[in-house]
Amino acid sequence: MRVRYLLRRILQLALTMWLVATIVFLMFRLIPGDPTSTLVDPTFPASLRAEILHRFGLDRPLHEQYLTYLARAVRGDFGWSFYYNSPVVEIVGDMIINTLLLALATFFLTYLFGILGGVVLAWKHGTPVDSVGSLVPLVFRAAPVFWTGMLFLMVFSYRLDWFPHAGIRTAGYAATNLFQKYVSLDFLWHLLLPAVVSTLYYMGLPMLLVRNAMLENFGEEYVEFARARGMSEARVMFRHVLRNALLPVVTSAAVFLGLALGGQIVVEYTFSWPGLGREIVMATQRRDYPVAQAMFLLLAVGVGLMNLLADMVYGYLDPRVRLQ
Amino acid sequence: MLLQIEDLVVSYRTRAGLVRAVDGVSLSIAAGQSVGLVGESGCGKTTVTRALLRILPPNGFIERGRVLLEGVDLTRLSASEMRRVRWRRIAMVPQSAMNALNPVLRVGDQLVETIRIHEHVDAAAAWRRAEDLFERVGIERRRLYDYPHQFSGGMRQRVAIAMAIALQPALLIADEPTTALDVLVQDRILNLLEQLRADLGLAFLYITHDVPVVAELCDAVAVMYAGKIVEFGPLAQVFGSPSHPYTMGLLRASPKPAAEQSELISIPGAPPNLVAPPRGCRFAERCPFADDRCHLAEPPLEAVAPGHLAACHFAADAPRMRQTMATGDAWARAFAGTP
Amino acid sequence: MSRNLSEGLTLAAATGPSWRTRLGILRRILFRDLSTAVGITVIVLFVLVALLAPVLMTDDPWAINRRPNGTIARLDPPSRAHWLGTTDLGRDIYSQVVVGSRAALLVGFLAALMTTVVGTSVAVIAGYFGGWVDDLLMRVVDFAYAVPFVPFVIILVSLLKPSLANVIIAIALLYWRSSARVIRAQVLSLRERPYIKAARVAGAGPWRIIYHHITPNILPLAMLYMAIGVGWAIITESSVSFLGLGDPLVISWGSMLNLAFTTGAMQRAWWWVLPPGFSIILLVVATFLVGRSVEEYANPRLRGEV
Repeated sequence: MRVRYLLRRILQLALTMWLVATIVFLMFRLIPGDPTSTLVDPTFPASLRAEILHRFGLDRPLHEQYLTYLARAVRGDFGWSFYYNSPVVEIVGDMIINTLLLALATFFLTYLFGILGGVVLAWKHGTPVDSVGSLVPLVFRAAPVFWTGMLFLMVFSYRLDWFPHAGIRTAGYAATNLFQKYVSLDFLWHLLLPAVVSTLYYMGLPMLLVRNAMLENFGEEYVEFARARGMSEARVMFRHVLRNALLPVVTSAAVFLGLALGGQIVVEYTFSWPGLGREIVMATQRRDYPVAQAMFLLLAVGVGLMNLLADMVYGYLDPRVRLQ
Repeated sequence: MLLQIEDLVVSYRTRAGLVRAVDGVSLSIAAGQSVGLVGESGCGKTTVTRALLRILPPNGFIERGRVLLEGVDLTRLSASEMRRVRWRRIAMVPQSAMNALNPVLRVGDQLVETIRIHEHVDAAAAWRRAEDLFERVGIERRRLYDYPHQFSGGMRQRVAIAMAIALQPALLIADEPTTALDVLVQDRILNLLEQLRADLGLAFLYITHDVPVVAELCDAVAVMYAGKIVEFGPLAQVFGSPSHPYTMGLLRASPKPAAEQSELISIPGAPPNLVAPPRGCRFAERCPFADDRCHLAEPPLEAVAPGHLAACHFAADAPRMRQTMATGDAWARAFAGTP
Repeated sequence: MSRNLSEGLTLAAATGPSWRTRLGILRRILFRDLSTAVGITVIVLFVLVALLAPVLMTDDPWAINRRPNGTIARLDPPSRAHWLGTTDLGRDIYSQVVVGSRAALLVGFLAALMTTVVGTSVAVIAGYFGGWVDDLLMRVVDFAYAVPFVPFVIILVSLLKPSLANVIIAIALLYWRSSARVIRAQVLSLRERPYIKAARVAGAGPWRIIYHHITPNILPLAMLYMAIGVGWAIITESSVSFLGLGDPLVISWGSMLNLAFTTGAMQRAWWWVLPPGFSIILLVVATFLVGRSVEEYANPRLRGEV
């Protein structure tokens, strides 16, 4: 049963990705004006343009182009970057890792502090801790994440000079191997500001969800029964109520991961974090559309995989779903 | 005495005002004794149990009174001292184990957790004890690994009972432990409780609105009405020669063994509003025997026989009232004209 | 309970709440508590600022100002002449903040309106007609969820040509997904209510039922998504502008921050960074506060009417 469910979900995901890829294909080719201008630098001389168009098969009929495009996308071949003058595949590797690391750090911090904060708010329900505490995430949620980022840069980077203002590594820092490249104090030092800023932005959602779900559970008899058995308040909160309140939070994690991967753009751009999101912006600004297209597809795949993962976790956490 | 409740007053803060759900209740239970606390729903009997364990909801508080367990006043214990009393000395069987058990944890984990927060035993030993407990209440041990929703109602209640006796408490509070079950299963659960009491020498506080259950299981009985105890005494005396009209009505309202079954009645009217309770006897509004005095002065709880207390101005007249109750339909006459 | 009252209640249960009662409850809730009143006041103030911008501005927001000695007033801190200081090109920041409210409100309300209309229509049609219509529309919603939102908006806007209208269209094209999914669930449960079944048996056509019985009932939820949508659209617009992909001819809070960021002026010109940011926060928090009280209304459980 579970295997079949998993297979069905994977099939669904593949179908969705095919649709996304198709939309992207159409988006880049059916826009007003000369569609090839999005794919080949329009400032090139006509003969060179024609040659490039021919080389990439852009002079062939649309349906043929579509088929080659799909076949190539499946193989991970996203074409040629005008800006880097190299195959797109060759530049995405590091970016994927950088984006994932920032997204995971954000996810970890968001859910750690979001859940803890939610428990505290629920625990202190009806006190000033709760009323003030519920307002703070609202404000951070309303503040555009790039603005919060700018504030943090102004204070912690430019004024206090505690943290670097851009990038993932200090210039001239030479890592001897891949492991050292990411597991180093220098990297963490660069990671901290962007991760904290996006955490502040996203934290409100799990926090309020946990708070509300816990409050809904407070009236349940199992809470009273747990207290009757002599459990400490902390144990009642964290082991019993939180465990029940987590279900809606996990569902929200799917939405979160989608948002975080897509919304990462702004944080990456603000902190010059060399990931997929920043590259989409740079590529769009440079009109380097093959890169923008590839980054977009990769992000969509990432979002799809995260949603699949969240579905699995949800099924695991709720025994009532698990055993059906 | 194992447990002595003295003049306990428990109130809830509500939007309508302060509700005194329990108003001056005194009650005692000896070791190994089984006491029934009977009354309609909303009379405050569940509040008594919550106050005993000090698990009142946030708007509830003990206004006054003492709860002495083996001589220690529970109302004065600190939160952490109280936690050590809960379950080790006083445990409870909830009304519905379906709602009382955590739906997302395996029952075994919940049972083992309960053991291990009170006793320093390793996990393996606790699981072994959990298996023994399950066998003791008649469940296969492999079912420790199931979730609450996988059990039938009766089985779930057995799980709750296993949990209640896990630490060999001195007092077991059973709050309507069988109301949610069908009759056949009810009998089996009651037999199990009875047998455990005999084996383990537990004292029982049996909270119910079900008169026959009390008649079957209890040594003594307290009848509660609108936050107060109106009659208290040995089972045979309270049910055999009731001295408060409410007790008489309650008995007439409950089915008896087939032979002596007379017509079932229901007591007309509803309990008073506890935000602004009446000045006199709280039952006066519904009582067929009430006169002016009942509406003006509250009757004290006084002995009508050794060990048998009743709070009625006419307690001395109890035989006559019982007579009226048995022969005619007192309520029909007193309330002629009301449906 | 008096007889008339109980008859009235039965009647109400039979027909469901009308548009009038719904709007009445909504009005009561909106003006009941402080935070909602604050939210509404702030929104009204911003609308006034946007309408009265020509009067409120002290300067042409594009004008390059000069100091008394003739040099360009680059990054002057707040002063009597320039209440919130100047940009690196000597433009008056106060006037830019004032005129920026227009872009924010325009995008916020239009995008939210389009989003809500599309989302609600999809939800009602899918939920009411069910069957293959529902299946199809819900697959479209699933699909819309698979598309990363901000990247989609950025690329589409850049492909179409950066302009406010295209930002609005790009937001509306994708953002309707969330309202559609939630409102459809509500329609599904409404469809099974006795009074709607009764109306169907009595021969009322689907559009009549949708207009008279379904729509007034989902109105609060739709308004909740509208309120939240305004906030999100404002944030999205400012993000797009911040990333340098907004309309180059329009001054918006996001484009102001973009310049403060890309020119590096943010390192010291706090007066260029704080005002547009605070404006966004204030306006968006206001929409959230209003949304929160609409939510209380949309969710009877929170209102204490189980």
